[in-house]
Amino acid sequence: MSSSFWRSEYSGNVQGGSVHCTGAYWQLLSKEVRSSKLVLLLSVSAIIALDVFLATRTAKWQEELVAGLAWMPLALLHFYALFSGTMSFSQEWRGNHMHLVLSLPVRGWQILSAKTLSTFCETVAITLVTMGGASLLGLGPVATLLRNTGVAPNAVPAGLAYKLVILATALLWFSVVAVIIAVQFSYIAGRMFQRSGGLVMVWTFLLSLWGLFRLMSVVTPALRWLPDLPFQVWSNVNGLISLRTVHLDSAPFMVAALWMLALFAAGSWLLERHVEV
Amino acid sequence: MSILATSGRPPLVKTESLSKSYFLAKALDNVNIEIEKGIIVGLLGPNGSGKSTFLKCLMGLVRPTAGRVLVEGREPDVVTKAKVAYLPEVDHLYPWMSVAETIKFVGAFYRDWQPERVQRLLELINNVDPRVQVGRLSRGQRARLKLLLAMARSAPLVLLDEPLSGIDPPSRARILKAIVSEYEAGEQTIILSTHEVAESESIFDKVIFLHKGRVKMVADAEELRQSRGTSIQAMLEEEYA
Repeated sequence: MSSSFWRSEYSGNVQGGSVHCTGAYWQLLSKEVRSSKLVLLLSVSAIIALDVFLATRTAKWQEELVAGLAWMPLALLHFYALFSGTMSFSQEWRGNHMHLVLSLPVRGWQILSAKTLSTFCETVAITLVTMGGASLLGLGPVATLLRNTGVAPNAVPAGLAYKLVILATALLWFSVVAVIIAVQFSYIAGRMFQRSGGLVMVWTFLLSLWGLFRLMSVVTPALRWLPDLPFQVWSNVNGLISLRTVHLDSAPFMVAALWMLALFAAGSWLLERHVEV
Repeated sequence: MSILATSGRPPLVKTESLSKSYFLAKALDNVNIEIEKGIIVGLLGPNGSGKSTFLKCLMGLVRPTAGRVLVEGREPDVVTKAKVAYLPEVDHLYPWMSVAETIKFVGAFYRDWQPERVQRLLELINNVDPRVQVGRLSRGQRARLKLLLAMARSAPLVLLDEPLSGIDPPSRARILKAIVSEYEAGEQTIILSTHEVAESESIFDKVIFLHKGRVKMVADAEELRQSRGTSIQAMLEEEYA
């Protein structure tokens, strides 16, 4: 091995101040992304394979069926987040890598946020690949379906359609982040117990989701003062299409965001101060 | 019971009635130790005597069931982790990372990382292509890479948990040589747990004998050899017979 190789490797690695911190966090994040790239690659490949298969069926199957199947991976996105969020921790423990991670001078929130961000990026990639494939295969049939069912007899304005897609995607990703944070917290909570950790994890996950919905119903009325989120929809009254503004209550989203923040903080604290290897 | 291993200087490591239990099994039982700065301590004892648990407590990887641990006057946390270099007994490196990536990854977290030391310590894993994945290294090469990662820092406290375990004799000699050559005498404290006492006892300033989670003996290595007229290895065999 040449010493020049090593010198070039370390030339930019003199630590100090914020550069050090940024570099350290980047290393954590990069490690997370790279450790999960195989699962992501397999998932993306499976989606592309599904799209290719569906493309061969467009003439034989009902076009609504093809369109529905092309969008199907999004229905499994939360399960992917559940799986990937669990794996990002379980692999660390199974491979004894937690000895390394927990001996690093980094805060629990840094470890946890790197894992959250990595898993979230995976779900974003899957969403975009699914949307790309489904757009090629299924947008026409979806429009036909909307027309035939009378939901949107005429073409929906492109600008409005994009806004609705962005809103739907944002809501999807918001719920995915909630699942990632809940499963990570549950895994860490399970690790606090030397026995029946798996059972504790499952129950913690279910309780955290139940807690979220309970909290939403209890706390939301107290946050009614928050401004509503306006967005436009089209309405079909007796075949007459018109746009109208609908106001979405922001209080439940704020409650959910606060709940996620609390779970994230608790998970970070447990990871930094109480988890053992 | 209070056992001191100091010579008047403020202790770098201090444990007060330290106990750690896993259900009914006591891994550590009322351990009181003070370790001063700038010495090499041999942490000796048979399997299950609590050596690894003791080192993990110092690193903050396990929490005491009772009592407390202080490193530079602080209970182990993110601040002390920046001052402690730790080599665990287990294989903790990522097998999919290359040797170069592993060194870069670990080095990014420490201000006391010494690239010039890395250059010197690379002799330990010579003939290894830096692009080779850690998972493809032999057990001995991985052990030496782990040592490189611990010794490439000028950390005040270095914890080496069985660095010689499962290593062939020539590699063991090279590892010990590297530890001695990179050790900052008077500045660094090394706590080294090992079964390979015969080869390593010459580097110890002090020794701590653990047995069933309790401190059996704390002594100056040289004084112990002189007073007993035998090697520490022989004493160990006698004590744990």
